[in-house]
Amino acid sequence: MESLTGLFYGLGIAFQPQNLFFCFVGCFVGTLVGVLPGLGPSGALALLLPVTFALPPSTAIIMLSGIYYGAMYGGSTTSILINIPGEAASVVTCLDGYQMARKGRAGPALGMAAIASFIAGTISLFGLMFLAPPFANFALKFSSPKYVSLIICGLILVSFLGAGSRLKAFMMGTFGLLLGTVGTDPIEGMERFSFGIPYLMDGVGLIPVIMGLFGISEILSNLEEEEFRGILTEKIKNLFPTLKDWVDSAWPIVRGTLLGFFVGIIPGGNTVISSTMAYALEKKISRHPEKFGTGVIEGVAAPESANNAGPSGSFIPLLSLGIPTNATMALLLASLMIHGVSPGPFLINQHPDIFWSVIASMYIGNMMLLALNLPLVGFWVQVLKIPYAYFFPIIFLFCLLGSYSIGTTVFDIGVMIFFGIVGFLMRKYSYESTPLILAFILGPMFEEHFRRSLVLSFGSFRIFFERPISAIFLGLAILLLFLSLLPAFIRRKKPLAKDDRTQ
Amino acid sequence: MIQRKKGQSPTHFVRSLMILFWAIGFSLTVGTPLALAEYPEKEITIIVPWAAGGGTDLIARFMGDLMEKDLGKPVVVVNKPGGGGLVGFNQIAAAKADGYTVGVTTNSQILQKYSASSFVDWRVFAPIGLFNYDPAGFTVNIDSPWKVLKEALDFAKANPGKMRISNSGPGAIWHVAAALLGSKTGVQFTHVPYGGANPAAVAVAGGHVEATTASPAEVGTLVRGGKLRILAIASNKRDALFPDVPTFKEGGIDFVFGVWRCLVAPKNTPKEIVAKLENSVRKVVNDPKFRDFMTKNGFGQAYQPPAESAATMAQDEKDFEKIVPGLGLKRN
Amino acid sequence: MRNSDSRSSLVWLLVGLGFIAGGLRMGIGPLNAPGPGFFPALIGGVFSLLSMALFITTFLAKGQPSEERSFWKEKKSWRKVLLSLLSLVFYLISLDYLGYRITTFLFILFLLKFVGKRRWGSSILIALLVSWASYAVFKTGLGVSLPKGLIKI
Repeated sequence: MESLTGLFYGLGIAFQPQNLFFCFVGCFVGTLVGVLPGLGPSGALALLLPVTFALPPSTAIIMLSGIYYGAMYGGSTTSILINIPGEAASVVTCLDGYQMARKGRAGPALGMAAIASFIAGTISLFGLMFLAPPFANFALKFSSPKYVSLIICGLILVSFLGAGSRLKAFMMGTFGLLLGTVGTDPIEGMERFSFGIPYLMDGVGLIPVIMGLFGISEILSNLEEEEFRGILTEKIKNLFPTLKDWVDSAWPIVRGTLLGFFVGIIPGGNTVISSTMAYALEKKISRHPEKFGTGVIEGVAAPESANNAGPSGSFIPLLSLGIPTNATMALLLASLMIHGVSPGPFLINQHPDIFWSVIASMYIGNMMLLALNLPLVGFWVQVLKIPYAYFFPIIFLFCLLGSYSIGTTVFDIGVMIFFGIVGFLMRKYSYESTPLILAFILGPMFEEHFRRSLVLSFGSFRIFFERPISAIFLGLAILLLFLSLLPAFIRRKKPLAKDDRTQ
Repeated sequence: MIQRKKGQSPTHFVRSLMILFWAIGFSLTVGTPLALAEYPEKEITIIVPWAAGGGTDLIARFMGDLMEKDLGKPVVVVNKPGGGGLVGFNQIAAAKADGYTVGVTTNSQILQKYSASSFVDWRVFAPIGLFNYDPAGFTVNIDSPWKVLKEALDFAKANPGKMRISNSGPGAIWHVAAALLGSKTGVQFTHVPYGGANPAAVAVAGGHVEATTASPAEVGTLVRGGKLRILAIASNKRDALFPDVPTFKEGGIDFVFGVWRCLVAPKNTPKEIVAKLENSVRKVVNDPKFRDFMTKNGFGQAYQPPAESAATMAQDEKDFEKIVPGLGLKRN
Repeated sequence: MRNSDSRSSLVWLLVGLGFIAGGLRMGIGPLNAPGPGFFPALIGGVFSLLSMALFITTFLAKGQPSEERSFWKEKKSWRKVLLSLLSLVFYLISLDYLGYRITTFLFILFLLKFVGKRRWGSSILIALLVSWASYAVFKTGLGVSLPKGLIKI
């Protein structure tokens, strides 16, 4: 098959020492980027992009993809160890990953995150190889109304993530949307709710909010206990996933991969949506949904697969049409064009060396990342054993550094402290922070597409129902909404007989 | 209170508090800004007020790369899209005037005074160098029924408001270009805002809107990819890279309009730093690699040093004042 | 938590109304060209409705035993929390003046000694190590700009 010959051709190029080296550099930097907050893939890419100008195009792209992938792998490490998402896509991994760590199962969690990422990355690459052209068109036709429906679906699913009151989770999601309106309006650029503070021009910073909401509040909550020994509540059990873990994770990985891949194809469709959906999906179809949030392996395997299948998906519109699906892809596009490579349907024919070597190097990159991350699991697990009295100042510093390094301004530290207090109070009053963060991330995109849809439709709301994809997502969303708010109004303490399902 | 447990004794706690307050008090009484050092000492950021992948973005990145080789420190491009450039303009204006943050502006900034609900006055910037000029165009989807400009305009005239034209932001250059075209031909369009020329072009390729007035250079990739068709170009002569595209003038419409792009710094940036940057830009613009890049991608080349750039901005302000308010683009 | 829910839902309601007001003031625009205030007002409206719903549920649950817990987990909980918060504030204020290494040193030292109750020796040692090592890793290794402070340390 033509694709296979292409792949071997690409492997030949990818295995050249220079390309292997830069692939490794990319993966390594990417992992660092993913583990350390405040240094998102875009930041590192932006810094390293000039370096790539000196390299031949295929090498440059190999390195850049390595960074992108690496970040996806690394982001889950902090989510699992200290309940702070290393990047937006790993927020959902915190839910069960951290609980697993507390139960002494950090090893399996980290291991499964890496392995699921590897499997998802590899499978989705096949999708990229064989399915590129038809799916590129799919990306092209994804207009704003479809985004709106997709995001609404995602936002509603967000309230399914936690274990507590759905209504309150939903409220936190809505509040996240409101928080997202602070700053500049995505279409007209008008200053909103910034009260003249220049730092708020760009909106409330995401990283400081995450650091505060997840990191600071967690520590403050733990410090309440005079004799808080550490986050480990049980002894460390295994270092690697058990057979049962494998069995439990198999299907979640497959489903997560598919979800992540397709959502990744959509321009701007990001890994936040796909990881959220993957998690919510697993929870919904699981035989033990109530265990989600206490540390089930599926809660790690599914979102991690989704966010690693995403990059492969997002390469499709980039390489076949020159449409960048997110900031990282845009940087790749810029680097391609600067090297004189015009992405488009002819890319495969005119520059087969680039296309195939990139794909081949992604395979290699995935393997490198697995090799990089698995041995580290043992190291990370030991970290958890540090007595809390030494541990928490380091985490504080970690949060401070993360918040500060974005804009090198202490204002972000202030935001972090503020949200640390907010998060602390939220824990006291049983409000969940995950919906807040997820909605906060999705808010601006949601608004942009929503308003644009109304312009496209000349003011009619019918546009959201006209196209099948949009209608389906919207219908799903409404159904979920109904299902989710219903229990809040039904008396919860009513004893249910075992087969009482007549409603 | 004698305690045998490891609890915090009151005096311990109070002591800790006092230390803290002392520390805070000390910090508050001390304060001097940090001293500056020799330029450039660290990386320079170029703020691009549009989404990545668009014309401004690509040229800025290429320029940034060449400038980096010249200045010896990393030059990083950061995208701050939104508001048709407004967000980015504000960011550049609000940045520290130490020469480490500069940005790209276009005549959109001056247009917005008359076309958008808010704007950033061009006088808050110190121009470093104008480096490009691109004309507007009229581009439709390859599958659309209009093969020549006249057909498209006829449709638009017969269906007022039904033809949706994507642009790079409210009040920005392509929005005004479309409105201007509309007023010259007596046609009413619906203008759909996007974050930049690239998303705007993609919208046409995806069939979400009917056309865009972005420059031919910015839609080039999709045209070569067989997704778009350029019906006209708003310049005085045909473009060498798109020889089959007639000018508006050839079709009897006196429409010559386009964008210029200029590197700027916040107004109070020290003059020596601006001079250094100006030199760097001049070198870049004359670099054959740069010229090559611009030609290959269809970007128009034009250079004006700071004084001339400022004059252009002033002149544009006067010109736009005559033609833009009448288009009624301002939201009241 | 029923009483606290009813109290907090009123706070949220105010927040929601605030966003509606702000949104309306910015202009919601016609439906075919929504303005900057459209989204905040709309979502603010949804949020207000939800807070009212929350308030109502607290009434519906009135018949059940209240799960009122005390705010702090233990009697002296607030001390460590307050100290930590204040030390964060200290960091915020001092970072630009004292520079990264000194501020971090003092910060870690304080937390280790006064919140974590470690001994002086190990606290000083660790604080030194952390502040200098992290500076090296982040500043030199990763190129993150960390403030030098007045004394340029």
